[in-house]
Amino acid sequence: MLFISVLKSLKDRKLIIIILIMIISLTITIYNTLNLSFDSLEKTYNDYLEKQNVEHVYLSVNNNYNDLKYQDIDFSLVDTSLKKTLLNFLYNPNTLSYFEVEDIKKLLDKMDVFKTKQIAILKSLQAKYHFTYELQQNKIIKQKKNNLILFNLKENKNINKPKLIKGRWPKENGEIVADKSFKINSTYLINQKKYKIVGIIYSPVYIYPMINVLNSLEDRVIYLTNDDFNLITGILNSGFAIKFDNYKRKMDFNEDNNDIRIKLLKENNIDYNIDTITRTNRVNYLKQEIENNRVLAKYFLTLLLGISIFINFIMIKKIIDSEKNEIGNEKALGFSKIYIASSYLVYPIVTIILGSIIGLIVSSLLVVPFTNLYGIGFNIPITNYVFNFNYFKQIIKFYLLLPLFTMIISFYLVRKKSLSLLKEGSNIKVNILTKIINRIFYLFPFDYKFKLSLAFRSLGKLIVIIFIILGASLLIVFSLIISNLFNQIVDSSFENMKFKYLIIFNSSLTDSEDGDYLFNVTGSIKNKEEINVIGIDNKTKYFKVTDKKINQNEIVINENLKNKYNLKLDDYLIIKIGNREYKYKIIDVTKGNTEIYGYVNRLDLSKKVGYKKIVYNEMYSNDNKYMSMDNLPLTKQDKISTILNINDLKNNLKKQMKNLTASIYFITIFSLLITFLVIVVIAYVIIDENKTNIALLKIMGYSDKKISKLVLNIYTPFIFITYFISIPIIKEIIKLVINDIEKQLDMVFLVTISIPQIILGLIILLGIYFLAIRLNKSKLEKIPLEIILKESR
Amino acid sequence: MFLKTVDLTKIYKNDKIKNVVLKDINLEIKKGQIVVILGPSGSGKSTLLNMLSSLDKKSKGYIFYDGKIISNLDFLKTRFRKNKVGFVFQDCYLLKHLTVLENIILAKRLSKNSFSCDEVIEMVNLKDKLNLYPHQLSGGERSRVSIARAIIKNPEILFCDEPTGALDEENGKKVLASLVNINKMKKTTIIIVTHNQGIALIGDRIISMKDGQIISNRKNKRKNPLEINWG
Repeated sequence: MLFISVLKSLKDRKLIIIILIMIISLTITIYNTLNLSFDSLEKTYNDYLEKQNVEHVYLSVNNNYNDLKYQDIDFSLVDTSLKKTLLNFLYNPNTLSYFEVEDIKKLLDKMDVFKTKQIAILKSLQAKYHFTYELQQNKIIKQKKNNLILFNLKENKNINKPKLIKGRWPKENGEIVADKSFKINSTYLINQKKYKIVGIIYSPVYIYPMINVLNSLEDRVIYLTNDDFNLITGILNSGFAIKFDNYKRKMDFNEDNNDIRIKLLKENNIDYNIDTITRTNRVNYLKQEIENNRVLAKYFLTLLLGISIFINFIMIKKIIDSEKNEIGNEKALGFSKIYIASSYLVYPIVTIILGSIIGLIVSSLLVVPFTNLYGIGFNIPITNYVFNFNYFKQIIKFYLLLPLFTMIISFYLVRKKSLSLLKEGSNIKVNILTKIINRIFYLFPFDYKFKLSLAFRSLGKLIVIIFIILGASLLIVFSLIISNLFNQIVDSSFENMKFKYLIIFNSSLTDSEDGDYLFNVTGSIKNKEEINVIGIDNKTKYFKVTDKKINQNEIVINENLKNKYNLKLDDYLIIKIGNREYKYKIIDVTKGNTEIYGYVNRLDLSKKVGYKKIVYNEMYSNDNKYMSMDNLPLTKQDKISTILNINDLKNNLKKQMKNLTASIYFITIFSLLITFLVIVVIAYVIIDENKTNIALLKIMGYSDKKISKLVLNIYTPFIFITYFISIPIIKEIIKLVINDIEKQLDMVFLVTISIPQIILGLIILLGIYFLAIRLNKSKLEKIPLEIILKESR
Repeated sequence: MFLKTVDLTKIYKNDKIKNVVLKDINLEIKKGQIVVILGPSGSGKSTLLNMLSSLDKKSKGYIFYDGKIISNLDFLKTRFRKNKVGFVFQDCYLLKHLTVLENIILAKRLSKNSFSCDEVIEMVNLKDKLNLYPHQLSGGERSRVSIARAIIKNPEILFCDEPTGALDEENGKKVLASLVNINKMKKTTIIIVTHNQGIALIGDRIISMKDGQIISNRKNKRKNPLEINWG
């Protein structure tokens, strides 16, 4: 009976019940949609890897020239003109400069002097680890604004099979298939030769279209026939694509990897790399991306869920509070406490059931577009969409706390005597706080006293309103902070850079012009991690790394490096540059959340790599002559490898972050939607609490403007105060969450909110609040004043 | 004529059911009179009062105040209520967070030619209750505060909806005496809605209603409220 009565009362609270349902459904929708989209993308990815037989590892042989011996080289492959240099390199390596050594290594790589040996070694490994392998080469040609990556169709028959999505495979020489940035049936010029594009493909080694941060050119993939591939001129890269019989074999190989390397180095003087960074990114980045998204979604959605449950709880408490008279009546009629209390479970149960149904329906509709949206950045045909109840089961457990909370509040009310419950509302005593406020502000103008005593007339109601405002404020600040996370990464990476152009030279130079000079060499930490060691001067114009002077054997590391190896100031870092190891003392840490690098003294670094003079190979400049190569004399052009515009660099980094930010933006949008609903509830509650006062003042002849000033604006100061209190609260909560995320994502996030954003948040909050107040009030105006007064009896 | 209605009709529409609550009411009220609208529950007397006082919208007909039509426009109604009208309800509707004096001041601020607080408090005999809050007053005292609040603006017309409905005989008579006293002193037109036939005798005119229509409209010789037979 009571259940039916409470059920019927839902009709009188249509708006608030609808909003509760919407908050639950929005939270379930975003939680379910994001997670199911990740599942769909992951399943698509795994199926694709299986079908295209995508490599497990890519083994590129890194010939070890450090202890190279005469007998290691097949001199029949070496050009006679190079023989002298090579012998000099073998017997007197210390007399050569760093760059001369690097050049010789490149030449030896090109001649592939170890190829026969490599295959023999692979075969011996194959017997133990059960894999198939395929020699896969590519040639790179820089053309216009692109890096053309050319593959040989013959070499990609078994492993890393390209997926044809449009057209057909080439039947004869002169026909090519290319990635989706090309137009089918058009012709394309490579090295002055025309090719016909007969098909569009996805390349499994280009699942993630990498944009090279060091040259802003985009990679474009083309597959050619065997003859065409062999004839075309380009920078050749080769390696072995390896596919193990099963995943366990791969794990075994990974486990033994170090031992195998040491053995090979010792016995055959051959070193190898498995999975270069770019190759790993291109193939595996999607998996990493999904994992990263999952981590972000897990934390932020849980936070959103927490706020959503908190708001729902406060609102249900408000509804039950307003039922005090009914509870008193029911007690007087003789209903048992448990029966009365449990009848109020109707509110959470109805809202949870309807919210869940709507959430499930909407999320099942959104999974397809969301998965496609996530897949846009990747070269992979989206084929699988996953629908299940796993995530719903996860989230619903938390919502089941609501009925529990409801029971607790109901019990708290039911235990009161029925007479006191019946009297509540009809004869509210003025609380002590109102009396004190009236006394304190006795001499203040009447309006002030009126507003203050009205606001404080019921502490319980004031607290409920403050808590709901807090919920809305938390959501707004939450949205602003998380939407900032990735922008901050890009902005902080470029914060101290005031140059327009970064000029990268082909070789090291000594002459000078107006600009900041850098000497950038690649070293390694613990023989495994690549690090950019950047020599800089202590006085720089266009960028600032540290306030400290960098002396010999001192280094300023970036934040990412610091976190990765848990380094502290004054620690020592051993970096291998060329053949030698150097010990650097860490004197400062600079911002920089991507890649691993450190700044050292340029003169010291020049000497360490074998120069007698201070040299540079990069320059920062603000000179607009670097806007285009065409502005420069030919002699200068020859020395320059690339000119990067700082805006290009920023955009490249932003592009890389784009996929990861998508989840954040979705969560932000949903949390803002929930915020909107919560503010509507605040307005509804304020109007509802004060409708008798509003009606009475209207009857007395007060104008709408005056009523707004006297009654409706009484909570505005509380909105301000609560909003500003919510900023440090949510900031601290997000910091706690971020600490965990950083460990898992290997990134550093800055939890910040700028003053303009704080103001924007306040404007959003107040804007929606006043709009909602106006809408609710206009609804109230449609009801005759006498009726409003009668209803409040 | 001070207050006049022509064919005043009120129809409530609930789903598809039409409920005619007032039907073609024609009446005239003179300035300075005490008019009592008498009738059983559901006769339409409160609805008529709400129409006359602009608290509710009419469905048909006209209301003239001092020869001018009372508009349905909200701001004009607000001006009418602010400058001309005072209300007394059975439930008083005092603001619970304000003291007696503050409740009265709240209304006083609306009018430029309002009475002084002392004068009004004297009229309703609440001198020693000024700093008390509504929950500290008896039912009769609350009604008298509500009368004080209604008349402090110096309204031309005072609408009273069952002003003694929740009171016992002693307190009820005191409230009525206050109303008569105000009428005598300030010549305020007073319209009282009641179901109590005894109370009706304090009016200069008694309008009886049944089923949304006026069944009689007669002159009456006022009786002293303290001498009437409480029904």
